[in-house]
Amino acid sequence: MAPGAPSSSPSPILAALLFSSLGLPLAQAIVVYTDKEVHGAVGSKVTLHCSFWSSEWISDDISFTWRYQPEGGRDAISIFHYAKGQPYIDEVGTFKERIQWVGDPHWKDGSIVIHNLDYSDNGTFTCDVKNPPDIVGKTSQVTLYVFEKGVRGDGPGGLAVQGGLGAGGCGGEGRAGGRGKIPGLMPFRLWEGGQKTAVAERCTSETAGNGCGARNRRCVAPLTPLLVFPPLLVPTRYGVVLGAVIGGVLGVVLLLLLLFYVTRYCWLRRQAALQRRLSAMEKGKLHKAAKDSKRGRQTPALYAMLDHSRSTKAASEKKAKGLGESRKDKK
Amino acid sequence: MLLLLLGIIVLHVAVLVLLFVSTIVSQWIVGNGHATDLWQNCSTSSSGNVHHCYSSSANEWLQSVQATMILSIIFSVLSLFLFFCQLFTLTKGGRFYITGVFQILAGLCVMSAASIYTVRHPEWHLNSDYSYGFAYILAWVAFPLALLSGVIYVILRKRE
Repeated sequence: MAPGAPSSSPSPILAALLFSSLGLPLAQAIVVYTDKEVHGAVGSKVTLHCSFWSSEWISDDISFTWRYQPEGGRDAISIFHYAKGQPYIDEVGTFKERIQWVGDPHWKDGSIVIHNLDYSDNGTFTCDVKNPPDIVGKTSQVTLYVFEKGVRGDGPGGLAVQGGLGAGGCGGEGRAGGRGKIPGLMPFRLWEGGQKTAVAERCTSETAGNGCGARNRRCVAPLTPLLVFPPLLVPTRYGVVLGAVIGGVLGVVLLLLLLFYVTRYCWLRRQAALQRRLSAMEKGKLHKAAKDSKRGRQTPALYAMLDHSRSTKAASEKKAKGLGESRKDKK
Repeated sequence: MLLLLLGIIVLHVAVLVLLFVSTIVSQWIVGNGHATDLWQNCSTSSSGNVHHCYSSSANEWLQSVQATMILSIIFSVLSLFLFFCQLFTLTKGGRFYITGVFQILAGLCVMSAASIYTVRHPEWHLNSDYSYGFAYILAWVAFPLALLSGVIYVILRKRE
C-alpha cells in the first residue's frame, strides 16, 4: 500500500532536514498523517488513509485507532482498533459492517475503507497510532464530506471521472479524457477531485473496476515521496486561489494606478512644454519688440551723433561734452 | 469643517472595524452546535464556548471570498492612509479622488465577497439547518458604509 514509503526513506538526515523545514520538533517521536478532507458520493465507498512516521522500529504491539466525531456532534467515538495483529471493527454502532481494514502495519499503513456512505457519516475521523515504546505524538484528522449522487456521479460516469482524475493526477495523460467524459460535472468539483489525487493516494483503491485501474496502481510509486509528508502539499494547494485573487487584483489596481499616473505625468509634461513654448514665443515676441523699440529709439540718436560728427568741430566738442554729460547721467 | 473631517474619519474607521470583525469572527453561519466562518468550522456547546475547530475546506469559491475580504481590508487601510497623505499634500480645492476610489473598491470587494458567500456557501457547508451569523450581516453592512464614505471622499473638496 502506498503510505508504506516512510520506512523506505533511507537517510535519517534527510528526514531530519525535512522535519526541521516543516517546523516539526524532532522530539515529537510519532507523527501521524491523514488527508485533510475526503469526499465521497452517497452509497459509494471511501478510503481513509493513515500513515505515520516513527523513530522506532515497528513493534508487534503497534496499535491503530480510528475515532469518529459526527459533524456538529460533541463526542468522539472509537470505531476501529487494531492491536496485536488483529483488527477490531465496530459491530454495534453506525459503521456496523461497513468498515474494512486495508492497512498493513509493516508498511506503516493504518488505512480503512468505509462502504456504503450515508449523509450521516459526515464528520471528523481521527487516526491515532501507538508504536510502543514510541507513544508520544499528535493524532491526525480527516474530514469526510458526503455528496449526493448526482454531483459526483456514482454510475459508470462517476467511475470514469474518478479514474480520469486519478490518471490525471499521476500520469497527466488521463485528465483530459476524464474531463471529457462528464460534461455535466462542474469544474470546481473536478478541481476538488484533482486536489485529492494530488494530496492523497486516491488512485489506488477507488478506481478498481474501471479501465484505468492498472495505470493508477502503477502510478502510486512516483507519488509515494509526496505521501510521506502531506503537509508539504496541503498548504500550497490550500491558498493558491486566495493568493492568486489577492495578487491579481492588487496587481491590476497597481498597474492601473501606475498607468494613470504615467499618463497624467506625460500629459502634464506635454502641457508644460507647450506652455513653455507658448510663453517663450510670447516672450520672444516681446523681447524682439523691445529690441526693435530700443533700436528704434537708439537709431535716431546714432543718426543724431553722426549728424553731429558731420557738423563743425566746435559742435563736436559740444557733443563730447554732451556725451560726457550723458555718461554722467547714465551713471 | 473640523466636525465634518472627524465624522469622515470616524465613518472610515467604523468601516474598517466592520471589515475586520466580519473577516475574523467565526459567525458567518451558525447552526445547532456549530459556527462557521471563512477560515474554520467550530463546534460549540450550548453555553457558547468553542469545543473543537477544524480548518474550512479548500473550495475555490470560499478562497475567493477570503481573498476579496482581505482585499477590501487592504483597500480600506490604504484609503485611510492616502486620505491622511492627501489631507496634507493636496492643493486647495482639490478632491480626494484616489482615497475615494480605493474606498469604493473596498466596498465593491466586500460586496462581491458577501454575494459569493451567499450564493456558493452550500458547496462547502453541507448542513441544512443554519442561519446567517452576525459577521455575515456586518459584512453586508460594511458594503454601503464603505461605498458612502468613498462617495463622500470623491465629492469632498479640500478647503484649506
